[in-house]
Amino acid sequence: MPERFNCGDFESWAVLYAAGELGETERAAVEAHARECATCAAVLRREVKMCDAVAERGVAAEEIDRSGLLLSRCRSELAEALDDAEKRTARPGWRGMLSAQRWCAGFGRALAFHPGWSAAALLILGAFGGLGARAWYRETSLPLPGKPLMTVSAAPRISDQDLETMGVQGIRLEPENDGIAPNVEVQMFSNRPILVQGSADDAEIRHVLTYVIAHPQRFDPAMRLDSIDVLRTRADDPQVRGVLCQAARSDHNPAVRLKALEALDGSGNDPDVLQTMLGALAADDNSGVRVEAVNALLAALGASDAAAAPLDAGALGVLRDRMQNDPNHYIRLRSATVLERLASQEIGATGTPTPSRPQP
Amino acid sequence: MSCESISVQGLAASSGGIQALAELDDQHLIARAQAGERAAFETLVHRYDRDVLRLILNVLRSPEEARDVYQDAFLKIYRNLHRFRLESSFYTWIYRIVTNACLDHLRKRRCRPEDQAPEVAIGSRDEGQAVDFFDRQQERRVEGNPEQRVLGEEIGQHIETALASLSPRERMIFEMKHHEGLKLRVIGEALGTSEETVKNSLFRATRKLRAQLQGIR
Repeated sequence: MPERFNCGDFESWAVLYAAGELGETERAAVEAHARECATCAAVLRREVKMCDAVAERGVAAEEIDRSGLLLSRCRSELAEALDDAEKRTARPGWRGMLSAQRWCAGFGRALAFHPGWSAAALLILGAFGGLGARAWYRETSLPLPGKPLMTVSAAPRISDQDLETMGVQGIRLEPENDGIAPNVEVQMFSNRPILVQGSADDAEIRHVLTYVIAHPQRFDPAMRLDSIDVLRTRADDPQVRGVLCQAARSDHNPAVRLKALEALDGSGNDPDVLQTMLGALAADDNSGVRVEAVNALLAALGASDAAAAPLDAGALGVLRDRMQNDPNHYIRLRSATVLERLASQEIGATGTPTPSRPQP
Repeated sequence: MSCESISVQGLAASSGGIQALAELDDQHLIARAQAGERAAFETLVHRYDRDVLRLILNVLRSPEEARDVYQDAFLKIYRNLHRFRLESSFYTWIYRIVTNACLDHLRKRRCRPEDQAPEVAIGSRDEGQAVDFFDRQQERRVEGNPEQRVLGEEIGQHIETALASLSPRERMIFEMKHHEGLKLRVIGEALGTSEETVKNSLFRATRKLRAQLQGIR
């Protein structure tokens, strides 16, 4: 902003003035200069009039669709176009996958003049081939270079002392069939590889997996997530539940905390679990974890009124605080829903009024 | 239970679902639309399409062309939604796609000779005539008699022709500024350019318009 306007530059300032792009001080300075200089005053008048004239034309655009007919026509045409787009993406996808000619032509075109791509394609093919061969070896039980020398079928107990010196190389879970507990393989290593096999109901398997979940500093998040995945259907075991609560409260990885809360969904009759959910809702810095916590709380209250442990004044305080202060709109709404549900359960006994919903 | 009561319940459930979606904020709707939920995408469309259609109409001045551009823009948004990252503003992202669709359309229109703007009779460009033109524009607003209305329509036609003489980009910026009332910074974000570049385009557009309209007696 110049201290004194040069009349030669005034036109640019007049354009910005008319466009409403100047602040209070700048507008006042432009007006003051226009009062002193008749030529610049005419320039300013002309700019403002021109903007008014053009802006007036803009009002007509809204008049074109005063009834909203054009908008609704656009919406219905878009809905039809989206239907077509969805159909198109569904159809050629399968055709394209099945058409060997198209695959070969595309592949040939891509590689013909790109030696770098060719090398990358060969590397990817090699990697997939290697993985496939490994899986095939595993299935046919042929000896592998890393195949365990000893298989423990839940016979000799592995103590915590053993686990302290052992590492876990991988956890494999077979899909569950007709309610039969899925088979689990935990591949471990210390001086020599050990494979622990069994189902999620085996004490040994549970012992190893709960140990993995409870020691986040020793095992990577992928192992902990796999362990929770195996144990999620066994949250009725107090030992498993305790470890899941501990993970939901203190694991440093938000994905693990979230998965632990997910696994605790349905155990809302345990006061410790309820406290864990409330603690996560109140203090977790990850909004995804808080969303899971409030949803789990709602599920716990909705599953069965009698089964859910009663909530104390502190818990209600946490819910009210989240309803009013959580930065996430969804959590505020869900907290309000939990409070509404609690209020509707107690309405006859206590006469507590239904809390007002948060404003978006 | 009768068929009628089932359908009424279904309708209530579906309207409840739509209402629940309408209560969600953009972030959640986007996440659900990215996961393939069509209803979430349509809720997002309905949240923004009124403003989008107004912008398109102001730029193109033709309901038929506006329908094409509207559909083109929202289909692009639908196809590219998976690329949108929640760090930036969804409103700005939509406007970028819509403004690009409008620009493409204006460029295509320029290539069609039947859509070229007619030449405006340019006379001598002195200050007095410019004031005359804009004063006539003011009179049009004050007076309501048929003669003034005809004159007003004629002036509106002149403004239309003058706007058509701008480049697509200049026109876009001019419309976004004067009809949408957007700040230059926001226009810059929507067009993927700097505020300074937008400001220069606005100066250029204003100068061209002034030159066109000054010549009209």
